[in-house]
Formats: sequence, structure tokens, C-alpha cells
Amino acid sequence: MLILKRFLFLVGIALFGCEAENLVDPPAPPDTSTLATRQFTTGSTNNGWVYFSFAKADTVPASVAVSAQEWDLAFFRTTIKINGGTSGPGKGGVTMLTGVNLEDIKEAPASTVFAVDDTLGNGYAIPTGSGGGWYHYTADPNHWILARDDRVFIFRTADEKYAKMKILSYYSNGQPPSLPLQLDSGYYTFKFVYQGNGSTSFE
Amino acid sequence: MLSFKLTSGITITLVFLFRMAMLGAEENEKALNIRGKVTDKQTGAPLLGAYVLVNGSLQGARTNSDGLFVLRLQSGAYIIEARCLGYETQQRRLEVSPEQQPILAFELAPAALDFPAVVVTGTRNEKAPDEAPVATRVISHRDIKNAGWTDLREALAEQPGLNIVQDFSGNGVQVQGFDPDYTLILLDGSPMIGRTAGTLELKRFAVGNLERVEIVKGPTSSLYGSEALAGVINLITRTPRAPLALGLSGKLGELNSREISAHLEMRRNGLGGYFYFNQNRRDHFDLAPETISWTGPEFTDRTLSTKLYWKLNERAELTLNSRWFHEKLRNRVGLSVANAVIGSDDRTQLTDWNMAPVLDWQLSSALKLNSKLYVSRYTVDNELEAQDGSQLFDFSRYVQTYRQAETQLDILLSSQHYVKLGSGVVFETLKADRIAHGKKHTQNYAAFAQYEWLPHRLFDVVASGRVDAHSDYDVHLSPKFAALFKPRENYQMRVSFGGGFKAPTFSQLYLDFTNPQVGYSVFGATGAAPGTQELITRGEISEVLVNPATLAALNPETSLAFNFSADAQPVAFLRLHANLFRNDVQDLIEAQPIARKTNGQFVYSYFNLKRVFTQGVESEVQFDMGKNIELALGYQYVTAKDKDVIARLENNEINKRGSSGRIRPVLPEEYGGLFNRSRNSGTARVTYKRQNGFVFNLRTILRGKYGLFDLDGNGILDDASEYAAPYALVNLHAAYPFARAFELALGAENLLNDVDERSLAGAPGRALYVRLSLDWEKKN
Repeated sequence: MLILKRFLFLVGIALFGCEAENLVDPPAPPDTSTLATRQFTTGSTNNGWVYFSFAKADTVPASVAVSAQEWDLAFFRTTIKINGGTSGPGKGGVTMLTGVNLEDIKEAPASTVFAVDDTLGNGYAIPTGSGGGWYHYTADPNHWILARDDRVFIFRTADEKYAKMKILSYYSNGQPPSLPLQLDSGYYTFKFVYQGNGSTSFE
Repeated sequence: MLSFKLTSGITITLVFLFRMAMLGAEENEKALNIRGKVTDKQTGAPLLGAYVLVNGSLQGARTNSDGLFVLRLQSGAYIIEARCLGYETQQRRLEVSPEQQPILAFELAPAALDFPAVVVTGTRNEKAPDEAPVATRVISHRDIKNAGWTDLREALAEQPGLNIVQDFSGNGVQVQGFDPDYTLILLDGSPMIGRTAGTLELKRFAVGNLERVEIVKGPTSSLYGSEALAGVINLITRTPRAPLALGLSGKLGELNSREISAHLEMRRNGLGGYFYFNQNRRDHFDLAPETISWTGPEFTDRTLSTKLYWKLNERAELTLNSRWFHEKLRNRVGLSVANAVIGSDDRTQLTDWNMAPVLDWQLSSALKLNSKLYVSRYTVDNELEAQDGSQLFDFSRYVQTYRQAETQLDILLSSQHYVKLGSGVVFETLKADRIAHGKKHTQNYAAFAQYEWLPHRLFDVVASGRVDAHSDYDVHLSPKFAALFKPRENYQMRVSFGGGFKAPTFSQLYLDFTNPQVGYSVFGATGAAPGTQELITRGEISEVLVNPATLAALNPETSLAFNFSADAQPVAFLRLHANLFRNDVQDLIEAQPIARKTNGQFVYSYFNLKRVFTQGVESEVQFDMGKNIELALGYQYVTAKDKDVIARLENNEINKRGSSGRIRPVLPEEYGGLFNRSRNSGTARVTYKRQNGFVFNLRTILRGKYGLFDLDGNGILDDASEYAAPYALVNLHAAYPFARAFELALGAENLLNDVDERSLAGAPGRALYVRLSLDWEKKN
């Protein structure tokens, strides 16, 4: 019975497979945005917080960043903090979207609630741990940290500008890990679009 | 008698039952009682449980403990057949009339046994494989010899429906789509201990001294308790058969592999002994020379195994089984220390020994006692040292001790009703760094019962149940029901329904570990509340997610399973087997965060959470082409899925990047189920044998594509890139006997050199070997 069902299923795929695939995976609409999507890879974040500024599109030395508003988010291994709430003096906040494409986010909706770090109460605005935040941990045997492909973050930066961002990889080559190569972890590669004029639009 | 022309199984059964009822009615009219007795021809002892069958009819009887039986026959001529396990079958002609009611006396000669005549695992009773109510697959000593297998991994890999899982924790066996954690491995009926992350390394078991390996699929927790959830694999060691026999063998292979093995067997009067030694070594290998790490370690394994028996008298026998195994293993790994990668030696010394004195005592013709003490100890010392010896990075020791006392009593109520009662106690001790307080003792008390009913010679029905009471989790009850139906000679149908369970592991119960680099902590269920409390006192907790006071006790993982199998030998040269199975498992244990630490990391503990199912069909065809050539084909189709993932997929909660590069929900049909399961797998074997003992065989293990790991971060198997490619392992063995006692063998493992870089399936690649052996036996 099982085999019969499987056979019928295979026949179904063979006859209707291509059409079904097109319905499921329509091509992306043309990109009308005037803002560039940029990609950035941090150095190792394994030995302490690495600070990043969307406006500079670069890292900021920890000595400058620690009390200033010149950074927006910081990485330390798998933990991400933002310059807002208990983590910094800025006005930063973040909201997390699931199951969306980065390019489809045209603006931060007016109703968006931006979470701030609250490490004394609710914890980091981007939850730590597998599955809840930006990554999935594969456990035995590979112990990989895989960036969730379906997660997009919208940031309110420390000085109340907006950015959308998606994390691609946690490994030194900017790619998902693959065997038998053993890659160093703790390196963030992400794509982002920064709107520096204070508007919530990413177009 | 039975017509199989009808297509509906239900109709066949109804017709069959109706005919049986009709037969019964006719019999009562003018049937005569024909009495008889079945005895052992050599000793004259009465034989219990022998079948006395009327050829060409459904009628038959079984002998009682005095060897007596009664047949009810009408007048006429008959051929009566007497058969008994371990004896040659005998046929007698018989004329019956009201004037002539002879007493039938059968004297059966013990059978010269060339192949395994009994299986014990499914019911803990000796049964002919054809008559066992629980389907049991047997790998015989001859199979092992003919294929040239050295260890259990090689032997199991070639069995239909079994898949070998090879990963960081070792080589384990997958039964009915379950991870290796869920199959119990027994040696002469006693459980083997020493699992690494759930896997019992199959390479630890040399097979040269095994009489047979019995494989029972489906849960048998009702007799064996924990771990017997997916199946039971029972290794039965050889008993001495000859007054004096000696065997020596040496095998040379690639990677400088050398195996030597010796055995000595002696038997005199009521005393006997079987002594076995095996040593096996191999160099390391490296499939990625550009990295510091080796792909496979170098190792030296030694096994010493003995079986001694002493027949105290006609009714009692003492047996002492013991085994000692030692392994030295060295691997090379690259360690990241202060931004530099340092080549380090990873050295392991593993010792595993066990001993079991067993008393078998026939108290009376209807009562049999079996009492056993069993002790086993498993020790692993591991050290990690810089290659130049400058720095010792880590040293750890793990010691597990298992002590068991078990007694079972077999009660023969009549020739149709058998009862088995048993009870046992297990004391376990674990010493390891990562266990709370470094040491833990546990106790488990168990009682089991089995009732077997043979209402008719076509049926065998068994019901069994077992209660396990453990010091650290709830009392657990495991039931099982199994039935055999033999519509006619060489046809068997079996059905079984039962529950299996697997106890939480030591880690899941008692772990106390904080990762020094990353900073997360994991507590076993029993230590979660006090452990979290202590971290709160120390000010290391920023938020409690699950109130430690509300943590429930961790309970065993449990399953309900259904198996239906059919065996047929329609003609002498063709054997067919198929088995349908479905397992529903609940309360699978997973780690979940219970608190957040001030360093941003979590505290984890274990919970009964996941639900999965596995289902499929397994089949085998064996075909004898003429006298010399035998062909065997096996196939398994299995699906194993997480029910919670299915529910989340139905709610569009899991996403992926589709073929056009855009994120969308994963379709339920794209879900490939649990990782590391091949939907399709198979085996193929051709054996060519000659009268003079020459054997040639070519065996193939086929594995369809299987999920290797998640790559897109959605946690499930759904994308084509997440699958490992199908593979075929072809093995070859040819043996030529000469000068009476010698044999020269040549062989190849993985002849096609099919190695997958990502999964390491097929590693280390093609390996040729040559083996010379001597088997000498003193004739009576």
C-alpha cells in the first residue's frame, strides 16, 4: 500500500512537478529601491564585543563605542546586543520578522514595536538560544550555528534612523559550513539596507 | 485444505474458521481415541511439546510432560508424523478401525544440526525459527564464516532492514528507522553497556566466537525492559561441541591491518570450555590531508572470551560466560588554542568486561528454573595532549558498572499452556567528571510474566508484560502481544502489538556541566532544581524561565508498535519474507532552556517533549539457483518523521528559500523526516558454493539518499542540498579449503571504492585482505 502510494506520488510529481514548483516559487519582483543593499563581514567576535555602526557601515573600536551613541549593534559569539535599553545609551530598538524576504520590506510599518535590551528582565531584544533568535544550533554531531534564512531584522539605530538587516553566516568564509572543512566560527556576515534620512522607507 | 484463490484475506479466514468448526462437528460423531508416546531414541526420555500431525489434514496434537498424546481419528488409513525441536522427524503409517486402535510409539533420533535450530530472543524460550511467534532473523556461524565478517558492524550492515549509522559517536545500528540508542544489544541474553551519546560501538564485538546472532525487530521491552524499543540483537556465543578442537586464523589487509584469532574448545563428561582470543589492529587514515585532523584513528582491539559449562547432573547445569575487551585508540585533532591551531593526540583506552554465572535447573518435568548473576564494567580513559607533548589539554575518565541478578521460572501448565515468571534487580554506578558529585548509584527492580498458548497446531499466541521500577523515574509497564499463524507447512504469518520504552540516560538525569568557553550550563533532570537554585544564590541568573519548583520528573521515552509479517516458501528453492511496521513514539527527551544567565547564555535541562513516528516495510527474497548458487535480495522502505514538525508545517511556521531565491513556507511534502534515514535501502548477495567447500560471495549494501544535516537554518530536512548521495558498498569474499583443516581466503571491502566526503560513508575506501585459517577437530 505504502509503495503504491509512493509510486502514485512520484507519478504525480513527474506529471505536474514543474507547474507546481512555479506556483510555489514565483520569481522576485523587480527591485525599485534607490538604496543599496550592502554586505559586511565582521572579524572574529570570539574575544569580546565587536561594535558596528550602520551609518559608517563598519565596525567601531570598543574603546569609543562602550559609552557612546556611535554604534548600533554589537556581537559577542552568538549574542547580539543593541544600543538601547540596558545595553547602551542610544535609542536603538529592533523588531524581528519571520518568513519574509529582505527585499520585500519596503518600510518599517508605523505600528512596529521596537524591542530594547532588558538584560535585567526580559533579556536581549534579539533572543539568544537556538531557534528563538537569529540562528539554529544543529547540536551533535556538527555543532553548527546556522543563520536562519527566513529571519529579517528591522533596526531603529541609536540616533533614530532605520535599517533592515539579514544575517547570512557565522563562519569565517561567509558561507554556511560544510564538511569536511572545519571553519572558524564567530564571524558574522550580513546584508543590510540603511536609511539615513530618518524616514522609515527603504525604497 | 485452504483455498487461496479468494482475494480477500478476511474471506479466507472466515472460510477457514468455518471449515475448522465443520471438522470438529464431524469428528465428534464417530472418532476414536488413538493414544501414543514420543520419546528420545538415545535416552528413552519422554519428549514434551512434540507435534504429532496427521498428514493431509489440519489435525494434530502436542505431547505433555510425559511424552503422551491423544489423536481423535475416524476409521481409515493415515500417515502420522512426529516432529520435535532438535530431533529428526519421523513418519508412521496407521490403520484405524473400531477393532484396531493401536498405541503409537515414536522414538525420535536427535538431529545432526548444521544450522541454527533454535531462537530464544523473542520469547526467552527456545523455539524453532519457523515456530517462533515473534519473527526472528538469524545470522549463523556459517554465514559469518562464509562472508568473512570480523566484527558485528560488518555482519549487521549486510542484513536487510538494518542500516549502520556512522558518526562521531561510533558505528551503531538503525532498526525500523530508529537511532542506535533504541536497540538493545545482548550477549548471551545479558545487556551490553558503554554507549557513547547513545551509540553502542558495534566494532567492539568480534563475531568469530558467535554461534549465531538473533535479530528481533519491534519492541521487546515486555521481556527486557529499557532500550528494547526498536529491537533486540542477541549475540549467542558458541558452546564446545567436540572433545577437542582448535582454530587459528590470521588476516592481513590494507592500512596495515592485522587480525589474529584463536579458539580452543574442549568437552569431556559433563565439563566443557570454549576459549576465544582475537586481536585486531589498523593504522589511521586521512581523507583530508590538508587538515591537521585524521579522518579515522589507529586502533588495537583485543577480545578474550570464554564459556565454561558444568553439567551437575541430568537436571542441572552451570554455565559461566565471560568476556574482556580492550581497545587502544589514537586520533589526531586540531585544537584552537589562543588563535592558533595545535595538532593534538587524542588517546583513548577502553576496557569493557563482563561475567555471568548461570544456573539452569529442571526442577520437575513441568518446572524449569534459570538464575543468573551478571556483572559488567566499562571504563574509558581519554587524554588530549599536544602532539609535541608540551601540554596536556584534557584528561577524563568514565566508569560504568552494571550488576544484575535475574531469575526466571518456566511453568508448563499443560501441553498447550506455558507460563514464564521472572524478576530481576539491576544496580548501576557511574563515575564521570560531568556527573553531579562525580558519582551516581541507581537501582532498578523488574518483574515480568509471559503466557504462551497453543490452542491448535496452527496457532501460537503469546502475551507478556514487564514492570520496571527505577530509583529516579516513574514505574513503567510494558505490554506485548504476539501471535503466529501457520496456515500450512512453510507459510507463517505473525502479528505483534506492544509497547517499548527507553529510560532517560545518565546524562539526561544527572549531568552537571558548564561549558568553560561559551558559558552555558546543562543540568540533568534530577539536578535542575538544586543546580539552578545554586546559580541564583551565586548571582549568575538573570531570569528564571521555568520555575525550578515546578520541574516534573523526567520519564522514559515510550512507544507503541505494530508489526505484521509473512513468510512463505512456496517451492523448495524460493523463500519470501515481508514485514510491515509502524511505531509511534512519545515523550522523546530534549534539552530546553530553563533559565538565562547573566552572561547571556542559558541553563538547560531535559524534558519529555517530542513525538515521532516511523513506518515502513521490509522484505527479503532468497532464491536457490540450482545446487551451488544462492541469491538473496533485501529491501526496506521507511519513513520517520517528527509529528510536531508536521504540525508546524501545516501552520506554515517553517520557511525555506525556494528555487527562485525567495523565502516561502516549506510544503509538508518537502519535509524529508528525521536525518540519517534512507527511505530506500537494500542488500543483495550472491553465493556460490562447491561440494569441496569452496565459497565465493559478492554482497552489496545499497543505501538511497538520506538527510545529512540542516544547511539553511530552519532546523528540518527539506532541501536537496541537505541530503547525502546514495551509495553502494560492494564486498567480496572467496575461501578455498585445502589439506583437510586449512582454508585460504581472499576478499575486498568496498570494492568500488565508493566514499562520500561529507558523510564518510564507505571510509576508508577499498580494502583488500587475505586470510589463512586452521580448523582442527578431534573426531570421536
